[in-house]
Amino acid sequence: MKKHLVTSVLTFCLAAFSVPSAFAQDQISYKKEILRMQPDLTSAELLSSVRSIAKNTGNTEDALLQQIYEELKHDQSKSKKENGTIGTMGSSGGTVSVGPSSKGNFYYTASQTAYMNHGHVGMYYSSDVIVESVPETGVRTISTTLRKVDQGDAQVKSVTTSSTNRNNAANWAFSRVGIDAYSYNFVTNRTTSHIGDKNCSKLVWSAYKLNGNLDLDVDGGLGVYPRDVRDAPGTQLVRNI
Amino acid sequence: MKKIIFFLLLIILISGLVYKLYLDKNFSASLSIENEAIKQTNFLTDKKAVLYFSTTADQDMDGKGVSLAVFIKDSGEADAFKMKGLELGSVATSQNEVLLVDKNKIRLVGDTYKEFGMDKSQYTGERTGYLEKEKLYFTVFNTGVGAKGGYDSNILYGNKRGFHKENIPHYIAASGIDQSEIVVLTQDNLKEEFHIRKVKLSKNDITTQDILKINHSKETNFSTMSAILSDETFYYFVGQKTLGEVTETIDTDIVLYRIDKNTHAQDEFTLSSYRDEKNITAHYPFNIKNSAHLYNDVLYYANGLGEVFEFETKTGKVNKTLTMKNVRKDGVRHNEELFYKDDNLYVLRHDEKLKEKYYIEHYSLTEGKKIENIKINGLNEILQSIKGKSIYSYDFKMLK
Repeated sequence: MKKHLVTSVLTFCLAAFSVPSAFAQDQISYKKEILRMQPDLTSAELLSSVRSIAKNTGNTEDALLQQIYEELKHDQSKSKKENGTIGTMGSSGGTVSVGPSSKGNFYYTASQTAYMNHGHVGMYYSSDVIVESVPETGVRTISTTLRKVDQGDAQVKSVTTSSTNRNNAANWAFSRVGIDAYSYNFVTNRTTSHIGDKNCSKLVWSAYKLNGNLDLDVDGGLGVYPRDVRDAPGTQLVRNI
Repeated sequence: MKKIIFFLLLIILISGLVYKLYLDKNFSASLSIENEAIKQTNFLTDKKAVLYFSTTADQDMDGKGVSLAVFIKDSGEADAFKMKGLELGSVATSQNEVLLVDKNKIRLVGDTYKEFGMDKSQYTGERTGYLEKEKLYFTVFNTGVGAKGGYDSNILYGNKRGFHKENIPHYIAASGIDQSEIVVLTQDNLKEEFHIRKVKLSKNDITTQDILKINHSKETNFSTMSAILSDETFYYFVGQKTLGEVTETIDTDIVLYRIDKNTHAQDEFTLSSYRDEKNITAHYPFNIKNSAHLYNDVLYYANGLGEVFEFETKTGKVNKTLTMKNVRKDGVRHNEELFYKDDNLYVLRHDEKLKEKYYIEHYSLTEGKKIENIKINGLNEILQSIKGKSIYSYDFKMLK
């Protein structure tokens, strides 16, 4: 009887608290997992994007879904690793204003959502104004004095390129203010048009892709995430915040 | 042995259930004011202060951004009312009433409870206020997306009978109230120009009037450090002029701008200067929107180093009137906030060494000294109960 009870309790525990990653790899529905990790992305948008890429590249839709899933898992593992060292309100528990920097530089900060810490990037349009893409608002500007982040959780970086490219990149990002709405699609945003809805990392990435042909993405692939921009080669730390 | 395994499994099961039911949520509800309680007409009777906290717009990607209106009772106890997020949100007050705003709802709390939904969510606040003569509340947002390709700052205004929506087609760098009008400093980032404009609210319409262009050298970077204040003759605001390139250090002047309403003459008065400053945000006020105050022909400006400067409007004389103690010099904040009323300056302070981490310091501006410390109980617990999101303080008002 006790053995039976123990087995029942163990089975219940496994069923109740197991996570999808516990399933065998070949049982994973990549699409389902991607949408679980990116719940604001619609199934239709994901599949439409994947079909378009498959048509252009010759890759199978399954292979592309697997690649997207692996990129997401990679970003998630980076997020978990950083969360392990940084608290909810920064390592010191304090907050700071982003503060000024040079035109064309960008800042990175952790950005918590219910499902993962995506991180967030925004670009300096001028020393005192940030241009960034935020949910639903789309591209907005905000004063560097008013934008608060967690201390120890953020940094300002510069892009190693000509001042012309930096100025043009910032001007281009600013030109999208009032035009481009927000997109929840991080997973294939490298393949979507530079013109149109975009998220924070796509805004900075597109700005430099179009102005200097720089690829601010540490690992390429289909999606450019905020951490990919932060860690991209050709970027230099200006200061930790 | 089997008993041990059985009890171990039972503990795991119970722990798992507790985690799933209570802890695996973003926020604790245990410290929240119930919806029904805030609707009571006597809700504000025993409240002496209100604080506003919110997540930033980027954290609303999952639609779960949060803001808190934390009310401090006469006894010092803090209670939080949870709403949806609104970065840079604020609280407006009038007699026995407060206006609370989140991303898609306006609430009037006090004598009569009323709430109004918005047809479109907003993610960044700019200013809330109350126009006494018109008996109108207003809330201005940094909306961002402009349907015609420009920059929009939506404004909702009204009272318990309803709210009306209009648009100020500019990016707003600073704002304030001049009797029955809203005054805004708009920033045209392409032309690198700043303009003072007046916004007049009427029943079903607003009019925006361009007053003047601010004399501003394009060689220096400028950012505002205060709201716009006004007396009978002048508009005033404090700004930061950054000299040269911003690197790891900064050279900057903090300047008071004075604009004559009639002649449009513009004057600048330097309040303080920083050279080769490494902590480049340390002098930023605890709250830029609440950093300055006019009282008895003196303009007061409190910076983030705890220094309060006074500018005598009749003589143009600048003095440092008081310095707060134990203020961090590295720009790191713990929700410090400012509120002025007449001769009084109230400062929300944080001290990690205290059991109750937060308290309010009360200063007399004319005497240049601290009068008292006001206790707050439970604020730290409320803020610690927010899990999985970062929230930041954006406003503070004493209600009595």
